[in-house]
Amino acid sequence: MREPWARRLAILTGVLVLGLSALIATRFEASADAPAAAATRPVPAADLEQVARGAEVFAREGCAGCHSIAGDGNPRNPLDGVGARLGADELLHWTVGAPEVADRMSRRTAMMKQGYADLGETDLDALVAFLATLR
Amino acid sequence: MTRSSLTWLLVYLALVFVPLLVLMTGDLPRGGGFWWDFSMLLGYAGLSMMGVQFALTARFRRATAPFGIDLIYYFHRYLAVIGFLLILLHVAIVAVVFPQVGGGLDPRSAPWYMTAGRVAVVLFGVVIVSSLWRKPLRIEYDAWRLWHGLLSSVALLLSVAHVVGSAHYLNEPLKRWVWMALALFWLLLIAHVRLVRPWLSLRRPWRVVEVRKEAGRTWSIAVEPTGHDGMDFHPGQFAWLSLGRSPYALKEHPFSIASAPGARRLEFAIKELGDFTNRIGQTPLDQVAYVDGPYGNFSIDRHPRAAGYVFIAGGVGAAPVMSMLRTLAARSDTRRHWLFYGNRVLEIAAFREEIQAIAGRIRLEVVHVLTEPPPDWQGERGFVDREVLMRHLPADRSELDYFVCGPTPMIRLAERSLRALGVPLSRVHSEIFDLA
Repeated sequence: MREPWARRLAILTGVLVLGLSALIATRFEASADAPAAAATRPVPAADLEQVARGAEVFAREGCAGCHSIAGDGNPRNPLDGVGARLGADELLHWTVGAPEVADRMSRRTAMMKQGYADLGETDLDALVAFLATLR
Repeated sequence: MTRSSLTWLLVYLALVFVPLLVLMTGDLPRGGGFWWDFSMLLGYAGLSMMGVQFALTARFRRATAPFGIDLIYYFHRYLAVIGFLLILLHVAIVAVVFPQVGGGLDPRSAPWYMTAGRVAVVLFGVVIVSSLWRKPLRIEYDAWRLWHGLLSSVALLLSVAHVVGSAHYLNEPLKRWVWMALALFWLLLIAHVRLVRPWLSLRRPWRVVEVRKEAGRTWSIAVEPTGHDGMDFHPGQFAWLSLGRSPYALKEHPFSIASAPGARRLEFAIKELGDFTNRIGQTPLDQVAYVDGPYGNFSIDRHPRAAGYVFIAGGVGAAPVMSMLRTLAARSDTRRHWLFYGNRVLEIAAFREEIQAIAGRIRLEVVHVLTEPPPDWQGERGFVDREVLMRHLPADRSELDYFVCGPTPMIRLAERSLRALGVPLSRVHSEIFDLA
């Protein structure tokens, strides 16, 4: 007759975990009620190819693992509007965790980002061009 | 509920919930919207529940004693399924709401910590399916035991790696340390169960001194301690017995102790029921044995003030009951006791002569209940049900303590019948046999 109690405790644990997780989730400030579509700046025709390549790099490198654009990807670090907030140099600095901005992120994040310096100039420029379109 | 069981219950709840609550302390990381944070928290919670499994099955005698370790294993089985469902929900929410986050299934392009998480989920799934359906899948017990431990340990390690690799919530040293300490605690538990405990067993070897055939395909295996003073236990408890194998091999099986405490010699009564037990009669004398025990709270000594004891036993359930009967006889107990002993026919009732002899020494009424009695059988027939119990038990039966041991249907029927007879459930004690 002890088994029903054990079963109840296990189920109760599961329900409490669900409830507590939901409760805590509401406590986090949502930064990610993302816009339905990202407003993008009109791109000069000459840059189109580079921006397209940048979008490819973004997808290939799995940037969506940590960032979202227009609600797609990891909602914790949305990139919507980043092109309006940051200039090309700053975009590059943030992308590769450059010393200028490294103290504004965790050490782990900086180390991870510094790995992207290996992408090479062409890909990084393309990525920055793509990010600049996010307004 | 006793104080110690309440204490351990609180320890359990703390192990599940404190890791989750720690995430809420201090500076919260930037949120990702309800579904994102909900999903992540479920992942953390699922992992801490999986970690708790290692504490549940580490056989800590003090923590398991108030509940009975059989119940702890039963709980382990349930809780693991629920923890796994939470982890699946974590995965499902990310997959459906944030399909781009995972970086693809291909381990060559996905981040290593995502691959670690995915492999962990698959391994946990394999562990759960192979445990819930071990018998239909025809997985042999020893092999299952080995792989169960290995795969779940690897899955836990991969889950920790997944969390550490992708952890956004562990944004402060305190949170990181709490989770690291927790992961270390789980690792130490694994090391304790796989290395320390076998090592302790190795230092306390036993040897087989008698292999005796009883009725009903049952064998008595007696062991004596080599170079140490043996084991103290309560009558009715059980131990994990390992015969002729190193304790590191984890080829051990839980068996009830059938002898009475107080002697150096320990006797197990083992019925031929499976791969291992079918060969039990061929155990050579002098073979080395290791005993991990005692465990379980199925014992008259946990209820010493009862007006008398009623034992309801069937088949293999006779072993712990024999231990308790032999103990009562050795103590020349003066209270009235009853034994309802269910068998197919009288000839396969193990220990029948000895039980008769004990009934001659103490006030024990033995009621054999046969499902296939011979035509001239005068005694009870069928199962140990309400009518059988009512015919033999006295009117003040709520003052007695009841020990029910045998196949699950027999236990269920006895519990139902006793309840119908007005016996409080707190006086009915049973043991869950099928731990695997």
